[in-house]
Amino acid sequence: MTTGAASTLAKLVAARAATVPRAAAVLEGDETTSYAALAEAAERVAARLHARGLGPESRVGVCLPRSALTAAALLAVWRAGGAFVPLDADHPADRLAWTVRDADIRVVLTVRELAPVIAATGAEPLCVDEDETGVAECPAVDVHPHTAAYVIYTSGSTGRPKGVVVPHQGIANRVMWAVHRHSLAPGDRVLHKTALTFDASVWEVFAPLICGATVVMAPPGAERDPATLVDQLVRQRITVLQTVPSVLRLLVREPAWSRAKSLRLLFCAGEPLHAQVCRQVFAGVRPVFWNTYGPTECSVDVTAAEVEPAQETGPIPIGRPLPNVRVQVLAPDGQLAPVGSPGELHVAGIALARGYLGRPDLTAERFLPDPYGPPGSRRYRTGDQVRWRPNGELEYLGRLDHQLKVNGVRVEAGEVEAALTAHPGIADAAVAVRDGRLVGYYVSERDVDPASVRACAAARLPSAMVPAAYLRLTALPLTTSGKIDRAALPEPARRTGGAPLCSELEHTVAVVWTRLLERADVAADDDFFALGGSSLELTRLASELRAETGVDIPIGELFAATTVSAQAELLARLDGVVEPIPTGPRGVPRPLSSGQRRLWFLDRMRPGDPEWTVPLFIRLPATVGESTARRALAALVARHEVLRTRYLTVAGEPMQMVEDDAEIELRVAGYSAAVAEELKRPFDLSAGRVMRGLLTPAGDETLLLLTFHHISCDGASTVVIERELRRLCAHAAAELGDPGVRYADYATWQQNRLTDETRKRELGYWRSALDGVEPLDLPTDRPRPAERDSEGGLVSFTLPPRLVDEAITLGRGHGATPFTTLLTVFAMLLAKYTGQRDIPIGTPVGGRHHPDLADVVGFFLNMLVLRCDLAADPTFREALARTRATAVAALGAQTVPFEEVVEAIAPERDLSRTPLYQVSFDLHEQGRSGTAVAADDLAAFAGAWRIAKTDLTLIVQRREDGGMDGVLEYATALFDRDTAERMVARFQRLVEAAVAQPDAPMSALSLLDDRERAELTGPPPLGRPVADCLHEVFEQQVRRRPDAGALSVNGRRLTYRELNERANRLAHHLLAHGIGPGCLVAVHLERGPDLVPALLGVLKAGAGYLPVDPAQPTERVRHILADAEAAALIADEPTELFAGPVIVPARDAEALAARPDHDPEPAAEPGDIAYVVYTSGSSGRPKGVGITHAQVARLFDSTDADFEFRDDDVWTMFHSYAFDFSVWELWGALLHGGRVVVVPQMVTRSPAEFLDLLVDEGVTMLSQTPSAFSGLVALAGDDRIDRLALRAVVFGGEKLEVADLLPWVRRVGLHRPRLVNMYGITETTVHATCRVIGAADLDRPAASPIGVPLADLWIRLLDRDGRLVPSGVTGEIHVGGPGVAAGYLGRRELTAQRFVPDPYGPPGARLYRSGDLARRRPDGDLEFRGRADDQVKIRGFRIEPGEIAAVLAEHRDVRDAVVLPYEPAPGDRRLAAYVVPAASEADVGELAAHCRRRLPHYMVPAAFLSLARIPMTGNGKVDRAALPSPTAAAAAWAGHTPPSTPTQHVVAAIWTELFGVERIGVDDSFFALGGHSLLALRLVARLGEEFDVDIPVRTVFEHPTVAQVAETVETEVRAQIDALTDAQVRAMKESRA
Amino acid sequence: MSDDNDDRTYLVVLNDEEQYSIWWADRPLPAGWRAEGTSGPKSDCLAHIAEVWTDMRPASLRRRMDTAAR
Repeated sequence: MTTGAASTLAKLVAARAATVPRAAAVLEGDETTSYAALAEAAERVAARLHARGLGPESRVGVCLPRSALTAAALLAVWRAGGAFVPLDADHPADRLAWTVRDADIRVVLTVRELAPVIAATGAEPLCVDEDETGVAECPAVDVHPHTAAYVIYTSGSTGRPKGVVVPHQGIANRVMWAVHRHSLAPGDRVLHKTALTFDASVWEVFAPLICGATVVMAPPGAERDPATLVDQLVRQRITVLQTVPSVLRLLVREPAWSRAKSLRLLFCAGEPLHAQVCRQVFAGVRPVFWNTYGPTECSVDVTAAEVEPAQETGPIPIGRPLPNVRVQVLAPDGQLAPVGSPGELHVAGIALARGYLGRPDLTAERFLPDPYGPPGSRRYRTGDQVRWRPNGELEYLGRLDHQLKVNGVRVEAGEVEAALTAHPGIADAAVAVRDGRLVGYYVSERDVDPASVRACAAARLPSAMVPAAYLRLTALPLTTSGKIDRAALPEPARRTGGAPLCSELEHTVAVVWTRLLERADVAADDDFFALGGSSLELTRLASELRAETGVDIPIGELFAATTVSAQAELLARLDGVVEPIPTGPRGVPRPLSSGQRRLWFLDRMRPGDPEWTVPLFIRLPATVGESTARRALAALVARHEVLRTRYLTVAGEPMQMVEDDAEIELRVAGYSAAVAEELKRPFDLSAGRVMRGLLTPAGDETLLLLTFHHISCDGASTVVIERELRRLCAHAAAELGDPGVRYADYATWQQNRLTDETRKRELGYWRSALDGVEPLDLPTDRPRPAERDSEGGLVSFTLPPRLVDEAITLGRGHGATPFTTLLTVFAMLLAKYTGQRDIPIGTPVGGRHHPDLADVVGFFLNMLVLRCDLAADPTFREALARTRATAVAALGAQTVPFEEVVEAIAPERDLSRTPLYQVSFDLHEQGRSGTAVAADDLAAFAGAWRIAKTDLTLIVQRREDGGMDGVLEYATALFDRDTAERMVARFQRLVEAAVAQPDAPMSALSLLDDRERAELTGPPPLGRPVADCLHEVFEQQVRRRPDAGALSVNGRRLTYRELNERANRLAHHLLAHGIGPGCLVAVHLERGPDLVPALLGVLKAGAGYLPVDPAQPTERVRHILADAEAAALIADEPTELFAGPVIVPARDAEALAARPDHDPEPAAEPGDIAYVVYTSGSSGRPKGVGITHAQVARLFDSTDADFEFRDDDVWTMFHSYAFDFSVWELWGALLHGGRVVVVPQMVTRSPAEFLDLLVDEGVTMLSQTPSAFSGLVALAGDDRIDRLALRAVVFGGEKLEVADLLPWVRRVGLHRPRLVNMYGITETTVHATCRVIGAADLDRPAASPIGVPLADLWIRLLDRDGRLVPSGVTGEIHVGGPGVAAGYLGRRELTAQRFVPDPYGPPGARLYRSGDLARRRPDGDLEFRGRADDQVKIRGFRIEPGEIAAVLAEHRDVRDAVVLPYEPAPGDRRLAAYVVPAASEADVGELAAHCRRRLPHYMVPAAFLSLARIPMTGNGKVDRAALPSPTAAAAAWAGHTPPSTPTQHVVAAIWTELFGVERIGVDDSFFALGGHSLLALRLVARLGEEFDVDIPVRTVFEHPTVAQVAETVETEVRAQIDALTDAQVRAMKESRA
Repeated sequence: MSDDNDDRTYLVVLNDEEQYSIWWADRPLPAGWRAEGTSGPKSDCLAHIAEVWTDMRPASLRRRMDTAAR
């Protein structure tokens, strides 16, 4: 291509017009302009220009809405030889006038409509949509390649724009490239959508026109409206599109994008393009996709790269130079930069502009001599930093100067700053791009309204250059060299407001914003730009608002109305009026709003419960006395009907009835005590008592505490009330105006306005969003009561401004509101407390969806459930994004009342907790009047607060200083105040941690403070080194007291000497068999006289013993013998079980007697294995744990302080010697010179006989599993108890239910014997912790205290991520210290799994992972929480069966109970209770009722089985396998029993009526049949009609079967009859007769 | 040449199209360019250019248009 082609763009179009005159040149909507028509139109306009003396180098303004006329106008200018200067009619008038002057424009091509705008600039408007008579033709004009083709103004750094003069040769080169390189041809349809003021528009028009293709004119404004653009692509079958990446990002998000199948060529320019967007492009359509680059100074584009679809990530290169263009990358020293090195891009060649119009200095500075080009040639310094890629492509790196780009529009900071400083109040200004939008910073002495700054900027700058956000600074940050430090310019505050959404329209606008900006929680006074909206999105906003409301909004108007409320007002103005809420009848019962129904229902459930009290503190002048207050309250009540409304039932339906007047309840009292009392007092809805006041003189002011029932008032209402009350108190005759709508009218309107379609859509959302949601199982201080207790407490806290600021800034970086940010932290806190990762949290939304409701008092709130997803250990940033998405989606479904969501998802009420969420969260922006958390009254208020609306509620509110006040409301039935206080401290800590480490996984954000961490990870304790083996210590006792009793078995006693001699003979015998150190000798003996000598003898030989209790199944014995590779077996009888040497003491008595009886030479070391105990494995294969002499010895060392072991102690060996509890029993005696009594097998099973043994033998130290001890507890009333010599009872091996001990404690007390609970595991040498049961433990019978680790051990409670849990939070017990075994015999993999590195211990230390759960109390004591894998889930509820068993055992008819899950059918999991009755047979119905009284319904067993005794394993634990299957019993339980009594028949008939089901059984549950709370109300109403009884609705929830309901009715009827006098009864009988 | 505090010495230069620019005084002039005579700090050079470069049309275009006008 040569420069000769340069002048020919216009000529080429003319040539096309000659060859294909009828071809479509321009398409605008459905209208086509042919080439001939276009050429003709251009000729006519050209003639008019010529007639005005315009020719080459004349600059002609073009100011046209995009239309077919545009192409004609541009062509005409060129035809006349001139240069066109695009002007934007939307630009400020000053700027237009300035441009006209700067470019010396005499004539502007425009349309009639815009003529006045042009005339105002001083130029002559020449309307292309009118004809002019008397104009001659335009003669041929000589156009040189250097002749200016157009002048386009770009932003100027000096504060004023500069006109770039582009010659014909430059633009022709660019247009030719487009046509030739991409084979544009007839049939192509190029969308012209770029505004003419951007040079990229030029090729959109001329490329198609020079090749016979068609320019499709996009509708005006379409360049900012992705939906319209995509619609055009599809509708107009566009083949070629050019766009900027920021718009492309929006285009590909349009659902119709993938339907743009005709698109074959896509060009992107103006901003860096990233592969991510390209991937989205290709996901929909497959155009050839080019990324082009070029400044206006170089004729649109100078380089181009085809986008490689395979590129997945990173920036797309800007490619190679276009033909006739040369590029150079220069290092700072002016030398060519090597490949890969960054440098400034310089452009040379035909594409160069001539320079800046009338700006020689600027031109000389940017257009420089090109030493590499032809002589005298220039190159343009782009200011862009690039580098060469090895493949010869250029990569764009960024700007070198202060030029900014916003949405592809070039913005010189200087120009915007100049416009800002034009504001009279502004001394200095700076701009920066933050988060993709332009932010203006200004320094002013006085307080300048940002709106006026925006107005000032908008008056001087094109809209794309007007900053979106404004920030006042005290001074601009400067670098050391005194220049503005742009990097240090702060992020602007995202929010300006926080006002609640009041009207329907505000709500509509907010929903659109929410969708558009992907932000939840938009407030009424939020600013669209401040929330991150861009001018691009403003157009989208207009079209979405149009879609929602049908109102057409000019973009310009939206620019002026940037807040939600302003836009709502705008909509209202443009739309005329909003439909008013219709007025209904007065003096008759009216339906309730959905919120009222919910509250009324809740009140029915617990009549008079103070839970729904809304307090409002108002500080008034001291002059306000009782009479003034009373008068003001009367006026208030007169104004607001809802404050004098009573609630009644009409045919089972709740209704409201407005009373004409109401008694004003106002008390005058002293402060603190009265407040607490006031908050507790019930309301009577049926009497219309929904509000009362308490007036308290408080020094120089008067405090008025108003309390409302929530049914009449919500948070926004309190604002209205406070405002009105202040005025009423100040002026007796205050004119308050009409409150607008009456609440009852709202209620009716609300019921009607929720269309079926909306309800269906929103419920559909909630069904899927809340599918499978499980209750949040918080670690409570007390077990959850069967019925929720609404008594609550409040703790307050403050988040400092710095922290709040950091958190909010971080959140804003992810498009999250402060609400979402803090919600995310709270969800994380709850996740850490519960171990759950799916956290449902309730949050209130305003619900005032109509403009007339702003000042109406009443209950409008709705609740949403935000289900926070914290699965897979997300970082805070990830969690934020997830929470935000959840919140956005939930807000889109906020119209349907919460109660309908509850009915749809969880109709069966669990009375133990609130439905769907158990924790709620809310954030009040500053300015919300003082109710829940008014800072001043906080202390008094927190002290007086006695209500918990759910388990936990966290409310935070902005403070003046930027910090936040917070309160945590907690249910006192579940939590102690300490716990709540710790929770808020940890919340604060978690906010700190999340802000400090937003990229750390959640598990790494610690709740621990330094002190707690230090306590939990402090240096491990050191035990005494062990020098002697067990048998050596025993031998010392032999030498000390040879004749003391050592062993009692079957009524025989052995002294220490006798026992020693027998053991020695066996040891010598074993040694003679070659058995010694390193060997294991299996011991397979009944618990007779041979057992203890055998165990001792094995040790004395230097071997370890392997207990193999004969009570065990043969197969298991065989496995253990083989697995442990036993060297010998000692058995009562010869056996086939073992192939090696078998020693049978009775049979080998002679040989043994022949062996010497002295101590063998010491052979073992303390570090050698003393015994191996097999424990059952989860895989079903028992595994051996080897414990050393030293480990057993240190067990007694470390517990000696607790027990003070003595040589006159008598111990029992009660447990199987295969159960390591026996190690404690045996060596506790023998190491200390005490005596051990081997309890015969038969006696262990008979508590009475065992009691005899304890008394007869004078046992002092007793070890028991809790199951075994329950036999003795049952004998607590026995006289023999008084004769016991016990000094300690040690529990171990099972979870201790403290409640089970109560009968014992009541009889025996806690001191002699002491009751000691020891938690332990075989793998950690019998015991790991110790807790002496004290009176405090009896106060919390549900907890199982296990105390503190033994002196030389440590326990770490770790969460599932292996991190330390804070106190109160359940974690898995990990035991460290010298008690921890080396591992499992021969099971390396399993050992590695269970014996894990201790990250906090000494180097190389290990922890044994127990699989048991515990939590640490604040005092450091541990509470056992069950096996990690024992916990049962029933319908999503996490259940500890032991808790249920403990409740059953409280019943006087129950001696023992065990609860286990079973599955009658796969997936149908239920609980079975195995009960040992105390006397004969327990009444199953009574037991079930007992459970229902004390337990949440899901914990009530479905089946009850009566057993003579609970089967035990040899280890004294419950033998689950031996329990009978409950399936058969359960089937009978669930069977159909037809109604039998007359009452049951009537009840069943009502059910048939309610459910339309014929066959109703007496055991059918109301809820199983589909009942829900409203139906329950109807049931109660029907029962009332049939039986004339008033059944509280809650009883239906408590006793939901036909039989139970019938029983309730009968009880009630009986009670009524009992209450009647004889006379009344007679009267009734007579009336019947 | 992108830095704001450039204290090097420049020359005012122009080419055959009489397009003005600046060039480092200590480097050889590219072919086709001649020094106009002014040298000094960048800002001085640019200020001088602002005075002397009054007709910014390229010389060839100027001549052509002058011819056409006659």
